[in-house]
Amino acid sequence: MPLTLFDRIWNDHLIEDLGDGAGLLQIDRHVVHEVSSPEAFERLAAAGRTLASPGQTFATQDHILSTVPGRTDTTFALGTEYVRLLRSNCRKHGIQLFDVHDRRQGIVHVVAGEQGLALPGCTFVCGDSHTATVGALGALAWGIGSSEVEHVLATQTLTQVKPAPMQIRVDGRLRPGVTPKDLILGILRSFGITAGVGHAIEYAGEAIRALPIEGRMTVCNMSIELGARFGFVAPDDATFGYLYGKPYAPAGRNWERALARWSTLQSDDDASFAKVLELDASQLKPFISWGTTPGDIVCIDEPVPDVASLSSERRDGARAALAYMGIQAGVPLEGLPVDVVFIGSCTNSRLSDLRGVAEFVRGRKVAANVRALVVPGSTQVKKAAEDEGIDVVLRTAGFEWREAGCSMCLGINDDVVPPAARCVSTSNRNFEGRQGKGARTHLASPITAAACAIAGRIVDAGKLTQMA
Amino acid sequence: MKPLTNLTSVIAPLLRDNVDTDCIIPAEFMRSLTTDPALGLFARWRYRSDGSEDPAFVLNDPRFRGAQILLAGANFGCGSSRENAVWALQRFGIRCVIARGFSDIFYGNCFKNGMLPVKLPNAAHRLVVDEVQARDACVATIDVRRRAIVLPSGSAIGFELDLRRQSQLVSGEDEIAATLKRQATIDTFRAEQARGAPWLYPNLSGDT
Repeated sequence: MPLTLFDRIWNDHLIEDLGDGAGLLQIDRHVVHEVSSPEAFERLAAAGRTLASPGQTFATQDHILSTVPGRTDTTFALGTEYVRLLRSNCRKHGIQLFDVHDRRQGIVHVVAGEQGLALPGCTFVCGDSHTATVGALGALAWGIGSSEVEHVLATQTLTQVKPAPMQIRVDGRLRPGVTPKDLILGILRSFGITAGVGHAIEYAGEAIRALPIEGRMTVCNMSIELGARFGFVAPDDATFGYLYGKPYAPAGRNWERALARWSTLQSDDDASFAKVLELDASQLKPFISWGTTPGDIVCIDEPVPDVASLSSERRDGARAALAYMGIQAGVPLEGLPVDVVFIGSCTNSRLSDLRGVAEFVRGRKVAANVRALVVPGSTQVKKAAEDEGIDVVLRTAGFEWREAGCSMCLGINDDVVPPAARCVSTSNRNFEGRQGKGARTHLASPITAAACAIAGRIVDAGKLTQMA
Repeated sequence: MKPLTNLTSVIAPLLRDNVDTDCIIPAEFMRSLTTDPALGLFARWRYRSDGSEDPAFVLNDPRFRGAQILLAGANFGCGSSRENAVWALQRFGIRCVIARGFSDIFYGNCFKNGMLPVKLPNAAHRLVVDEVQARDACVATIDVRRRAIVLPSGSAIGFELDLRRQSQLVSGEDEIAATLKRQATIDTFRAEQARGAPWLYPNLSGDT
């Protein structure tokens, strides 16, 4: 029977069929962070259980840890408890931790790629909904709750209901100035935030294939915004090239064996998907979100939709979103003054993102009304950027250059957007209050965010360049 | 885990779509391990800017304060995987959420905590909404064994719930204990996997 890549990896890890569509799956890699793991460790201890396979769990500090330059455990005082608890739990259970001052520390989904923790065809979980980011490497990666973290710690397995395989096919070529972030925002604009519920998304097609690995990570990252827990791209030479030599990737004879296996990881040509969605990359433009769900997407110069033009069940939500965001229907966002620009998060904080931003802002200045932060995705990204002088370019332009972490994406530490302030953010969620109470978030690409920081208002980076 | 078989309670209507887990519990209520998550439940809507309760919010209405059943719109619990969202609802007293749809992660998290998410198709959801809106306080019974919501009018609305999860709720089973009973099967699987894909079993040094 023809198989999808999803079926193939699922079958490879199915220990036992539990009936009712659920399976007991072997988990190859598990990463924990300081915020979603304490309850899991606590319950594990309370039940008198130990780790089933400590070598397959890794840990990093990222969510609540301060990103203030020179930060320590105590810089954000309310986070200290979490940071130290993760450290002691890792020590107690023999888990490899990328700690506060470790050069490998960073956002879990950034670290998982650069350390080679996520591998093609492996099952990979983390107590964080953006875990599908590393699906870009052909891994079956998904976000789990704290009870499931405990289940993995105790058994190195997970009970999972099997989602239906789905394909999103993007053919054609992205136009110049249109980034991987715009591609996924374009998918969200076309198909909406529940398109992927109950499904595992395989991204395919010419435009996906043409993306470098870091761009594929940006796309897979926002699968959860489509409602899908799983999102991935079949591995290819770009994947293998990316992984070669990574610290935890196989080496030597194991590399050869792994490569032979990984080369078979594709959907069969005649495999059937429960759902197939198609999009033409050449039609995509730089996008930005206007409302309070990641499906509320417009082109920068396009009017925000009129409530009356929406389907009846979307009208109440849209009306509330317009009021919350302090914007008008029927008018483009272009020109709205911006207070904060956040460049970072597991969506857009890798070296390629920061290079693009530095290239754009070189010789320009952040507008006086804007607080602009760049938060590298990992300490390794930060170091690599500094080696290229990116930090100097950004700081000279007026950006804050921070330590690695999740930062203003979720606002759990003191990196928050003030009430009613407007923030252009390269992160993944524009929910009401996500970046701070009353914060107004507009999701966009790093280039769009950089352009908005320079202009002090919402602007299309292409137009700003023409005016310069 | 506390078993859930029957539940009789007033239904509190929160008829919004896409209620995300940041709205269910904002991140700033997760800054301490000792904070009662119920304090943060729907904090953006439940409290006014001075911190006092907003009487216009459904759960501040004396009729619904003690509700154990919440009636929501579509795509409830989307966004973050934070299980704190389930804990916040649960600590507040909610044991069942009825909606037109749920995010996959939130839906799964519910069952790990003895909470029942009831997903209803549009027409059935409409029936519940109509009855809730027609009454001052609509007291319903959720029967997990029969997989039905019994409304005060006497009409019973069936819902889908797979047998495995139904039995988990009814028995209050510890899922980890159930998995550990399969240890021999797991061990056999792992031994075979390690032979075929030895790179998945690294030592801890990082130089496999």
